[in-house]
Amino acid sequence: MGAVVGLIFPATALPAEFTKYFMRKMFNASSQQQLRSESGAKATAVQTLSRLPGVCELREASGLRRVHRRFLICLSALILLVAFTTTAQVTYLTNQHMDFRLQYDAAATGSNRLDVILGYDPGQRVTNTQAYIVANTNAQLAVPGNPNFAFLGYPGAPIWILPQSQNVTLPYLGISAEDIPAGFFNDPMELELVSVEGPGDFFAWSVSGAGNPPTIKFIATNGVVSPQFKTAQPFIGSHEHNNWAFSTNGLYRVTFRANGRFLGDTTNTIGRDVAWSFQLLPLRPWENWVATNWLPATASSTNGPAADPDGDGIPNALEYALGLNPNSASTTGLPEFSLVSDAGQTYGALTFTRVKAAKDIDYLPSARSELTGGAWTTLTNVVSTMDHGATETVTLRDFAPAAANMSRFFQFRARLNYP
Amino acid sequence: MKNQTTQFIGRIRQLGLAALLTTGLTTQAQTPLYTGHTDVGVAYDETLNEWELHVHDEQNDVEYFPATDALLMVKYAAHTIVPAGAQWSFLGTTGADTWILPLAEDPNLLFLGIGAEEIGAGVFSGDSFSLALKGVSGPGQFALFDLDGFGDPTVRWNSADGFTGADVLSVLTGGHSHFNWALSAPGDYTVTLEASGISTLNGATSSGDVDYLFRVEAVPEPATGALAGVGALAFLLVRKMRRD
Repeated sequence: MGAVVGLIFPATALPAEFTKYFMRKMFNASSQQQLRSESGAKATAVQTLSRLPGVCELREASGLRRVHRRFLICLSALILLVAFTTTAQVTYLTNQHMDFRLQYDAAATGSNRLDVILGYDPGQRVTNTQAYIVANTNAQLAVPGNPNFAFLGYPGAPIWILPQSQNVTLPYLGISAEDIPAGFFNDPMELELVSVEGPGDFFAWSVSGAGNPPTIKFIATNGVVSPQFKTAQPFIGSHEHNNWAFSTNGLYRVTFRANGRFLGDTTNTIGRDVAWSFQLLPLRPWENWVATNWLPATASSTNGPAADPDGDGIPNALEYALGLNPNSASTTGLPEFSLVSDAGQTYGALTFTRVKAAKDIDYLPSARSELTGGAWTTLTNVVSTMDHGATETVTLRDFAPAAANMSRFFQFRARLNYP
Repeated sequence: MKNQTTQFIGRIRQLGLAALLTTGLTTQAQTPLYTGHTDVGVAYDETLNEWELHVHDEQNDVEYFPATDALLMVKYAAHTIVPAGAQWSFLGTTGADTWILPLAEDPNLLFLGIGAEEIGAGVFSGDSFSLALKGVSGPGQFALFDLDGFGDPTVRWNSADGFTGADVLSVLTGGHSHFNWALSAPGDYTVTLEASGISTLNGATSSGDVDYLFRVEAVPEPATGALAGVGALAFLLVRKMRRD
């Protein structure tokens, strides 16, 4: 699955979904000579216009006015978003004994009565936005030939496991109902798997004794939770350990809820959804960027490739590709159009920032001759590259020189290849 | 401080129970533990350089010290047979009897772990210590083993091949973990353990030999009722003393 986000140049502060807007730059000089003499001034004019989209020539199929309205909304959002910064502490739990601890709050109402926090030795407690559960690369094993484990995939398939028996180099994760007071609920309690978001499948099971088949607790494949395997049942006052497995490395967001049946009730009381974030190392570059920019358990509506949490019109995948801050509304750093001279000819060109670590991004600056038809041709002629360490500034020019009475349309797209 | 208090209570408890219990029981002062989350608990007082290996009934939050105040019961329900496969030969021949207190909780059986929650960070070098199996006396063999994610065993202690450097478990301070506890024949066992580590305050230190008592039931229920009655009495007494 690849996510594509596009930015039609110049798209200063335009919401990304407005890929259907095009700016048309017309060369109206009557001769080569005149074009050359005018091109310098034209380029300046275009750059000025591009920062004032209300003035620049924008066209789209269904009307121009909406663009301006959106732009105004962006501007006001920009003012509101200034000074919002997050400095919360995030704990990376890599090798401790830890438990999802079911919580009962008699004073709360509805689903808030039952919660899931994480306790880790010695005696620490965190909520879901405060910690990542991190398994190093040695969590990677292979699915065995034993048919009891065929539910994990084919023999030999890679599988990342946080083991039920303690390995002091990996998280030792259990489920605890030790905080559930006696006398309220039927035994056992229930931890229910609600959803799994991530690059692979998710499983949990326990083994015990000698030669027994596994007791499967959770299965979620292709993002779908198995109706048959979606609950673990910790005993009140006790806790259990499981093998927790993922079919590939990466960043996962696994949502659980604690359920319990009050004594005398005939149905379960359902707790609130609580998402927990796992990192199965190594993270992909995009996942690493996501984990760096948001707290654990952040929803994909905020940190997904197409989301735009800072409301500056630049979706996350594009902020990532261009090395921008996704939580700070700003349009500085967007690709820019210019006219460049190369071997005595004048060309239209796009200049943009490339993030060296973003190996999962395809940078696709392109051009074509018609507004609504024809194929975009990806620009390949490098005019200049400036190295800034982690990033570089690249300028790519059009294939053909700018000519009299011709129209060229430029587009900048970044494609995220994930997972 | 806690150490001394617990010792004191332990002594009172022994006296009290000895007086209370009627004759005819092979084991006089032990409290039998049949079910629930229970740990072989290890504590260490660095001021006194004193270890305290005890039994911690987590379910009821009762500590048994000395550890021989508790009788760790392996009910007949724990009975199974040694499965086929070379990885299981450490338990005996395929099809032989074995009793296993399991790694995952079975509410019908004792859920026995090894806990060091009472030892804080920095007390021992590497925040870990060794727990060694020093001896087993009883009618059969005793083994402690982990399972990997796919159910294959990692043997931690085994009396069947003698007591060597292989019978040493590394335990992290501040935590606890669970295991399968296997005994090969019914009857009474004394399992001798020794904890040792490098104290940041006192250097190399050891608990010396500490005994734990296990009883494996040969048949389903008969003796259980009577013993459970005694257990309940003893338990009530312990609870009472705890409250006092």
